[in-house]
Amino acid sequence: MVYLRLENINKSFGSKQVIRDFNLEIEKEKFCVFLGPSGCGKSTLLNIIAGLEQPSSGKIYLRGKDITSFAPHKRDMAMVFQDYALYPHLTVFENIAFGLRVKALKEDEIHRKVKEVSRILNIEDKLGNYPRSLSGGERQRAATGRAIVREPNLFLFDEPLSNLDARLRLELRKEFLQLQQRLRKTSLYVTHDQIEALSLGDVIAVLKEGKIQQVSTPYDLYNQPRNLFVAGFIGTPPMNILELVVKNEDGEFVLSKGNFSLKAPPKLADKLRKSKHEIIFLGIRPSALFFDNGKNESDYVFEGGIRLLEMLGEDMLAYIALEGGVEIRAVFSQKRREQKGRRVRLGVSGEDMYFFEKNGRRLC
Amino acid sequence: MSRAKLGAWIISIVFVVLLLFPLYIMFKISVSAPHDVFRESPPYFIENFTWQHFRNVLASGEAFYAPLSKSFITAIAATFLSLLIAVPAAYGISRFDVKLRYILILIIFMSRMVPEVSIALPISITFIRMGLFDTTLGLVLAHLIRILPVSCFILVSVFGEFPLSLERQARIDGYSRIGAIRKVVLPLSLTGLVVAGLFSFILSWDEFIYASYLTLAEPTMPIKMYYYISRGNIFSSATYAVIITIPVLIITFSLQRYIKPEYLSGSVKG
Ligand SMILES: Nc1ncnc2c1ncn2[C@@H]1O[C@H](COP(=O)(O)OP(=O)(O)O)[C@@H](O)[C@H]1O
Ligand SMILES: [Mg+2]
Repeated sequence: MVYLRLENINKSFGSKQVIRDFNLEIEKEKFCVFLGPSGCGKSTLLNIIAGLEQPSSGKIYLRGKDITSFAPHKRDMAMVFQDYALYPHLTVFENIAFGLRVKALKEDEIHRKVKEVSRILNIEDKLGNYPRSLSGGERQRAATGRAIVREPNLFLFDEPLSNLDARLRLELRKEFLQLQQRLRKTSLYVTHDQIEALSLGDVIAVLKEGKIQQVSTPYDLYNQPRNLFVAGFIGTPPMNILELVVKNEDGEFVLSKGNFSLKAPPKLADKLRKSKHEIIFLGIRPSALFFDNGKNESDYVFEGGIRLLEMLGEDMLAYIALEGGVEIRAVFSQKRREQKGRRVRLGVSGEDMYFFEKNGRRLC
Repeated sequence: MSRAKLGAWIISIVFVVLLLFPLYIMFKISVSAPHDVFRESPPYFIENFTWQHFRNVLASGEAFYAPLSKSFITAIAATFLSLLIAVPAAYGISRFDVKLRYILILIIFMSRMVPEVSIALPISITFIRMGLFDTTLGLVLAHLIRILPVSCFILVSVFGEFPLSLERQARIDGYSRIGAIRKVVLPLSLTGLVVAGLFSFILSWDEFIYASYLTLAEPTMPIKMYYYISRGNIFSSATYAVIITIPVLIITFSLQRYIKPEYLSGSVKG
């Protein structure tokens, strides 16, 4: 069942268009993440859905009802802002109770609800504190508590974890996941952090300059990127992207850059026979490359020297110079104790190769 | 104490002395016996203390209480009206982008670029025609000319610095825009409102030029003081000056507790 529908949303500030032809349908009880680099219009989109900004054109439907012209307080959505926006003159209790008091709930009901939410979020002993005496994580929990206590139509989260340090972010990410599984509420969550998106989202919409690039499950987003932007944006370290010239040598397609060349795999050759391409992009994830000792059944083998090594923890990231000035990144276990300058043979399976047209669209 | 700190102290003390010295002279005259003032080289310290000048002024009855109450009523009304007009105006202006905000403020300040003396006369002629001459309302309106730019300026920066997400949070939590302004923005901007109100009050309280053109039978305190100055009664004028200064001091000190910068801390960011 479609719960929230965004139809042809456009938004401009002056002459600057921030959101372009945005269409999206979100199912009930799904946790949907908007993922994109900063400045791509994520917050603007969330503000439009909340009613804090008016779209320049387009419609918003909630449970099939057009709510485009509704004021924020008529939409009954809860939002957690990036900076938490706690009321500084109110205690944590009163902050969480704020929305309930506006609705004029009975005092004992307010107490019951605030107590329950604070127990879930583990801030029971902070209820009497003012925001200024809370740590970053506690402020975040208080802001989240204020949202969930209202039992709203929709949750909106605008980069709620981005102001926390790495360790706390990890901890709260897990709490968010547990909370989501417990509440099963339709939510929109904005972030520029792909790991946050992949770990929390049921559905992820990737944005670039106000346009949707792809809407998929985390699994599909990682494994089946629809274009070059998504392929390059998802995954750390980022995917290797090589720009290659296509040549037809006696019915066989060869991809090359300078001295570096490889035969087009069958799935690409099929496509190249159907439509003409002079240039294509090849994408390979650093983790898809493995050491070929001659016994593996690699479809392709690249040889080169290790130019740079970076320790990432359990993994090691190597920059490997291939022929023709081509450089690729490969990730492997640090247990191999590779050295700079060593020559290596890297294998890759044809399945792990992504091909994109010149305009960025995925070919196969 | 480090030498830099000592230097800072010395400079501060010099400034404070320079600023307070005229005030001290004013106060000294208002409580000195005449023969301490009218002599070849008057002493720096108060030698023969007397409340006589204050007693004289207070004993003058209506001649003193009428201007006092007129000044109070005018200043309070001007403060109230200035906030009533400047709060919505400044809120609106503060929501434009910074460049436009700046231009609007400049336009508002244009009304202060004309010397008050040059518009006081046309205003008084217009007010005579409109029946506002020598009325409290007329004087209040004239005072708003000088007050509004200042109170708008203060409030625009107050609202401009107010965290937008806090106002938005209130709207998300169930208030209309007006409700969010009333319940969250204004209470949390109390410091700024107090400062703007304080400035409004003082700008009206010690105003002289408009009052001198627009009042006749019912003068304000500064006019009354000038009356004594022009007649050469320096004891009464010094006493009036002290009396005019007292409310300003009281207001400033009693409102000081609202002027605390940490009022919004902890609300936004980690
Ligand atoms: N009120 C506004 N006026 C003008 N430009 C704005 C306004 N709000 C956002 N923008 C611009 O719109 C773009 C998208 O902003 P935003 O939605 O905050 O991005 P994100 O949240 O993805 O980082 C940015 O380039 C920003 O400068
Ligand atoms: Mg943002």
